[in-house]
Amino acid sequence: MSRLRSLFPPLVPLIGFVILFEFLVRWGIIPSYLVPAPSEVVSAILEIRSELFAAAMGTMTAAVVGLLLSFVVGSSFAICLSLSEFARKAFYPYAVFFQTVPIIAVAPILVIWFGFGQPTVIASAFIVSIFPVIASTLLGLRSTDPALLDLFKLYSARPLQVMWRLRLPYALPEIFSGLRIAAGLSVIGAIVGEFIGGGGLGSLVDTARTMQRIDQVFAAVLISSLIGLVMIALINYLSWWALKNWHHSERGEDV
Amino acid sequence: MSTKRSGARLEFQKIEKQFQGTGLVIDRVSFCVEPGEFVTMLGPSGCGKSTFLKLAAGLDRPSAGKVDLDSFAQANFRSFVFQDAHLLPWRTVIDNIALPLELTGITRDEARTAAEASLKRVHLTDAGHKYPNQLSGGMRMRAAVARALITRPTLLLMDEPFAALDENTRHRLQEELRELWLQERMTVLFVTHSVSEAVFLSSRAVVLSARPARLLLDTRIDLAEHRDQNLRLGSEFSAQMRILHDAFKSPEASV
Repeated sequence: MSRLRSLFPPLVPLIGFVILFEFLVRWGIIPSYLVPAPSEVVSAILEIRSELFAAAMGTMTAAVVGLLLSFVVGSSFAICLSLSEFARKAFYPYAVFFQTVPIIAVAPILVIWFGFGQPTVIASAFIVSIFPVIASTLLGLRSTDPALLDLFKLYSARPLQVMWRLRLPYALPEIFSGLRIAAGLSVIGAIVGEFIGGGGLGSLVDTARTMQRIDQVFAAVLISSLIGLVMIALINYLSWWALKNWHHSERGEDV
Repeated sequence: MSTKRSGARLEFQKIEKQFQGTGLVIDRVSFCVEPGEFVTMLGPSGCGKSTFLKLAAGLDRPSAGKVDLDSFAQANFRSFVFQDAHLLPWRTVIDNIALPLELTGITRDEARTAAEASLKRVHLTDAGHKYPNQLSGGMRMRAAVARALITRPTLLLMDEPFAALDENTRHRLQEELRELWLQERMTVLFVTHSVSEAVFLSSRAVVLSARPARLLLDTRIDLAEHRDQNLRLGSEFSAQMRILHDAFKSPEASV
């Protein structure tokens, strides 16, 4: 009940915004070839719902696969870096490269490597979402309570035991906050990939633009932000499920 | 569970400890803890009391001098209780207590059976399935003591374990610890800054000076074996307190 009520405040500006634009466009203050009226967007969604749905599924699949790859590769990489001070100093600067690479400029290269279609889109989603996973996992793994490390050392725990029973669980809250950021980025990466590599909502936006169907462009943009929201909600749920018993971040009522 | 191990013998020989930045912290301190003794260590904060515990635990090395221990042959002969309970928040109480055994490679079920027994000894039987954040400070500390006892240590090292608790809880836990020690007769080295705690708990007390730590006083506490709260009101208790107080408040003890 309180969860439902917490949805109310953010709905107020949304509804106000929608009504405002509806009238701004209807009264001709904003020309409808620049911004479609919200009602036109809704009718565009209904009109091309089957294409939208198929495209959304394609984009979401690519984003999810890209995110999973980021999680697996990124956290394994972070674990390796956390094991040796030298490795961390040697390789971490190059991990930052993933953060700074301009994905829109790299996408054509990805097409050359992976061809048109899903693999390119997944690679693009992967590249933009891996850095937050690496950075947050590494931060989490490096912030283990020294007294607990002493405790494990006292009982002569093996390195693998220290990793699985102490460092990783201790890092979980950080890992989840990295994944939350990565989830949003993976959708952006997928759509950029689709602009160049084809398929999904990215293509749909591109086609609608060339046909000057601004209502359809907005419809696709709206759906793609919804995908991002759904993915972040999914990560939030996983985080709540994993941390609910013990971590204060998942015990209060606010996120 | 009544096989009694005799306590370990612990000897500090001309211990010197230097830290980068702070310089000399411990200045050639020698003293011995005989098997089955309960020794408390008093001193102003920052005087290196905890360092002695770390040295005894093998978690740190002296800059000069030697820590002599007779029980190295036994696995897990020493246990450590930290100032805050330092339980793993993602594990239930019972799994926290089982941890030291689990790390030695015995199965989770066996470890749990032993943990149940250990839990009973600290009067915490009903809390086994709870998570640490559902417990009061006193209960958390009981769990930490149970975790330390599960390996049946011959040397128990305690670093101001009751300092953060309210007075009632602190007194009750002191009484229980004293009884546990009378039953098990393990060697205990207990660091505190409370004179009354030292008198109530120990069979011997050692007072250190301010940094660099030197030995100011090494005295027996000649009080009854079984001690309860009434003891605190007697004249013998205050006489012992005075002896420690005088050493503690002497010019050398302060900075």
